[in-house]
Amino acid sequence: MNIKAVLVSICKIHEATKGLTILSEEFDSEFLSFLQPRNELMNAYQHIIRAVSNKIGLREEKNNDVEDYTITNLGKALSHEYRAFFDTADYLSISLRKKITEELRPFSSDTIKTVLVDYYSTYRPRIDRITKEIANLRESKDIGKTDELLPSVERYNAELHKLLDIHSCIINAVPTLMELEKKQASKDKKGFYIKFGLVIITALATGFVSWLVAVFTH
Amino acid sequence: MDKKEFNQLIDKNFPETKPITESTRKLTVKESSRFRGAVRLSLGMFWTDEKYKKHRKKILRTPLP
Repeated sequence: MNIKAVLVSICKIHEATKGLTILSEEFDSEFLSFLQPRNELMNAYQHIIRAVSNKIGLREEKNNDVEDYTITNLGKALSHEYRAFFDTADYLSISLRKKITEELRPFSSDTIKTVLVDYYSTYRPRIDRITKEIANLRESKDIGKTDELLPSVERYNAELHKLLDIHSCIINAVPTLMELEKKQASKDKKGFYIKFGLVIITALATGFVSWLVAVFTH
Repeated sequence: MDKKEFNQLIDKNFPETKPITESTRKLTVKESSRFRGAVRLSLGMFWTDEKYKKHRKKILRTPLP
């Protein structure tokens, strides 16, 4: 990769990380800040300063290695930006997963299936897959080739936005879920009273028949 | 800063960032009057490494409804 291509990747990944950081602070249910990715950003900044100092002639050249030194440091900066992105993406996906779990927990699977028709077939597997893939990428030491980093970030950034869409779809469905659950509960209550009434009537009828048998046999 | 001093520093790293622990958080709150940064940080509203690790593990282990 040439210098311009690496710089383009750094800038794009940096902005994607910033976008997710802003979003993730809104979605954290405990309203806490996640500072861990900022260490990666500080390291990236350190490598960018080295590369720029070298390029503009501030750094003393050793063995005419200007291009090599610049590209090596920009590559390292890109790796740190990539790690910062996945730290932030992991944090946002965890927060979204927690929110989705909490929103749906009060409802039965039948209610969820009726209101959110695609939940069990599409949404749930997708949430599971995205959160686990991001968690694995974050934990992985090997980050892959330099030219594969930007496409990977763009892919997971898009996946996270799909997760945000799923979350808002669930939030919008909550009033309908509550209504259906309430209807189901009153139906269950009615069913219980009917069953209870039938048991009482059967008991009384049995008692009456036994009494009749007792009266007529003596 | 002259060129010699600059060249001595350029390839050195910043001191390594220590893990964010509960004592770091308490110290940040205690010394918040000296701090010009964000309000959340001065109030100690940030994840410590250990707390986040536990939180993350718990959420990933909890099955979705």
